[in-house]
Amino acid sequence: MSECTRQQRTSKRRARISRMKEFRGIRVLGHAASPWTTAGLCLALSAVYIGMSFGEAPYETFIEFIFASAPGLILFLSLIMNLTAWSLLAVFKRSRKEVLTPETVRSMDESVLLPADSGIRNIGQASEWFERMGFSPRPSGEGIESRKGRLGIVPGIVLRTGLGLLLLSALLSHHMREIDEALLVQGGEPGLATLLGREVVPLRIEAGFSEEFLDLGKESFELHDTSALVSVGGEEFTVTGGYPVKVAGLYWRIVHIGYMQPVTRMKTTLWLPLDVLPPGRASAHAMPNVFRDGRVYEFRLAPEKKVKKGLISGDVFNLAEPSYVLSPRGIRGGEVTIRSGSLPLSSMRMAEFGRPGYYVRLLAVGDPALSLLELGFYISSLGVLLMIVRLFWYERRMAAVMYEGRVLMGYSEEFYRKWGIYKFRKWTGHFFG
Amino acid sequence: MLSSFLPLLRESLQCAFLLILLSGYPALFARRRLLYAGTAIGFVTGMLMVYVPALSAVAPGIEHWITLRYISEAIVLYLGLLLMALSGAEGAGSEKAFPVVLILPLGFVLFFFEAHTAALYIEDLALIGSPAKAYAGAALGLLPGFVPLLFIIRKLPRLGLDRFFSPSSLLITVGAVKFITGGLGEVEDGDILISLQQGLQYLVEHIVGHVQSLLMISQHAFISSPLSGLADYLREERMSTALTVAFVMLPPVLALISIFSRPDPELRGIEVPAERRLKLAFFRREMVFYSAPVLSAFLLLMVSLHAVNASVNPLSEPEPMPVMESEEEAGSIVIPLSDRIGDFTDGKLRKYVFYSGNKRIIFLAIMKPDGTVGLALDECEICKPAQWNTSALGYAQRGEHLVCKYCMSPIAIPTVNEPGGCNPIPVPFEIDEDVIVVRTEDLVRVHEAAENLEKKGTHF
Repeated sequence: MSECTRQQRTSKRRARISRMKEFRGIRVLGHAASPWTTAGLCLALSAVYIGMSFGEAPYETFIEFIFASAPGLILFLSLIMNLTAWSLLAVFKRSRKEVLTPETVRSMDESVLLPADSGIRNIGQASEWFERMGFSPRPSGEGIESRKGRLGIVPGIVLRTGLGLLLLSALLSHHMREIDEALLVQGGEPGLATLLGREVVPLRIEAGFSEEFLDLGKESFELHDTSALVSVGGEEFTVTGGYPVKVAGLYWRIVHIGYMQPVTRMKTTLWLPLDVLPPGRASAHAMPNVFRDGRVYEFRLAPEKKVKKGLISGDVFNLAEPSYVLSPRGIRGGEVTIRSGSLPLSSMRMAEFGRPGYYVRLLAVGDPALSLLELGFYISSLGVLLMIVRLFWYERRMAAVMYEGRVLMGYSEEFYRKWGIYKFRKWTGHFFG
Repeated sequence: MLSSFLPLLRESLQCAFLLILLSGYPALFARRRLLYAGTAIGFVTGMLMVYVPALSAVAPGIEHWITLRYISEAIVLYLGLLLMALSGAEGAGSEKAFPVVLILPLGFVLFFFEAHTAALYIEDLALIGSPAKAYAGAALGLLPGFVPLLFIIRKLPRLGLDRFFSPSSLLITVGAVKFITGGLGEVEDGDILISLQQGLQYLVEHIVGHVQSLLMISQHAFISSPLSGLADYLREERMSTALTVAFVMLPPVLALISIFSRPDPELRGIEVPAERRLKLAFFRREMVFYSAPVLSAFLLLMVSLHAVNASVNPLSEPEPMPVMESEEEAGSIVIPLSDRIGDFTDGKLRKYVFYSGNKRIIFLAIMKPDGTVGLALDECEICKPAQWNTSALGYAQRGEHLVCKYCMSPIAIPTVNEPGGCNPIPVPFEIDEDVIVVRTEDLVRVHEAAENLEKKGTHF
């Protein structure tokens, strides 16, 4: 008997210690996962940003602070850990089986002790009533319980996971990203470039420039088909101005396109990258190897014609076969229009302007965190959309236990507590006559 | 004397009103001395920071000073929200004790910034006029504001402000009033909401740009980029305006939700119908009382936001700047693209007036988003305001558009220089290095042609 008692005591003590450990763990997790901690961390970061906004370039300074200084890193990593812990705790709380007692039912938003003459005298009858109200009961502790919308935590988890990934990968990217850029010309100079140790050869550049572009302002000019076929270490692939492509361990993207104009005189050829787009913009170059006058020459796209339709009028440009107006800066009336193909600028100078090709500025990025960044971005975007659904996707909980020979019923709603209480009062109103 | 008397009278009355509101609240009445001490310390410190050279040397500049004031006002507003979150639902049963630790700082911010700016203002008045009059006016202005407070202090508990306020709604109301009345209008030309919106605009633009750069999808002037539509949407001014509205309205809206989300009391246990009705009526009256100040704060902020919305993106029209023929280039007007009065790259509308004989020719110039310049007469081919309405002739700028002041048609800035419709009538010009060259002959010719046009007019 005494042995049995000792064993019982030991097992009770062990159970108590285990419960305490679990309790302490949850408490720590609870603090780390608290929205108050999130608010505090966000507030601290906001305070730092506001402090920096008194100086020059506050955003850049702030980014350096959070990514490269010890206090900033602590705050930033704490925020990531907090978001993760918040999701973990939410899952833990929802999956935890709570033992139902009269006290837990009373602690719900609203609870009623049904009168003896209500027609519901035991848990079995309560269970039938639950089903009639659309709640599927399951036994729990001393009574029954039904939960709806338990998965309502999913949007929050998706959002926090996405944000956590985005923040973490932004940090990794800040420290690990390598960037290089080069100008590439198809069939001209420079014919190849080395980007982050990879030799890149441009094979074909396509721009999708229109042959009849009506200029009605900046908004109307957008290229959708910019691409370049390049070869890196014998591997050929297409790079576009859209999403970056990953080849040879690097991400590639076109970040700019323009015309490369060859100018030849006395067997000397110059390749001029012309940044003349959108129409109206000028690109200025000095050409000391061609003209030794020391002047700067401005290139501007020349319209093919002018059209007027109703109230709208504008210049029409042939962007596929561009023509330029070339004017020496500072000399009035010295403008010459250069049509596509080779022709002399003027009888005096006899420079030949070859057919212009395209050049692209290629961006190469080495970043092991970029795929994580993309994943984080899309998950958090999905989370933002799902959070709208969250307004209608929340937990509703109904429970019933026996108390002093009568049925004690309780009801809780995660949101809209007031309407939940009214709803429950309406459902249970007829029990009171 | 009047110029120092009136601002100080106004500021002291505003401060006295807030002191009445705060010290009339029973939980604060008992500790009102702490509140008044805070206000007095704020007043004296604000003054000393101007008049004590050692302190004024370390004090931030006026722009930073204004920002600090804005921050303090936002903190007061959001402290209300914090108290509400800590104490649970608003209304009966919510925490009515005011945290003692907040009383002194709250009193301090009530008059600290105003005292500092007022001191700067009075000092300036003393420098340009009679010092005695400036200081006497200021002192006389303070007296009628604060002295009546001394006589009504003891009667304040009779107001029964605890029927209307909880500590959180009190702070939200004080914050809202400070938002609207804070600062000295004579010196501080600005508004917290405009500054907040501009600050948020800067932040949103940078965050969006940073994320795009991280994802390697940075936008380009003419190459289509993935998600550029979303990025453009987020960068628009409406996004920062929405965030400003959310920031300002969050405390009163949450307080109102908290007040109105309390369910009616449970009446099932009460047998007597009259008692049930009484309990329900008491509850609802209390709810109305509690919501009144928060609702007032909400409306105050709403009015303020509306006023700011009108001034964030107003019609801006510069005064025409007189120009003459250049001495170096005969027969031409030369306008530098960048000089001491500004740079065309700011994208702002500029107007010039040229006198040719008895003719007054107003023309406008603006840099387009693509970096080219548009130059045109300050009139179009259609609109012809009546004699009594000549101020409606020409254009003003609103954000990324010019607006015809007569028919209010928006004109896309990239289309300036294009003739037709309600566009301004183009004038030939040239860009020579860093100057715009307009031949006076061309200007007069285009102006005469415009005068001879038989304009139809639009509305009116």
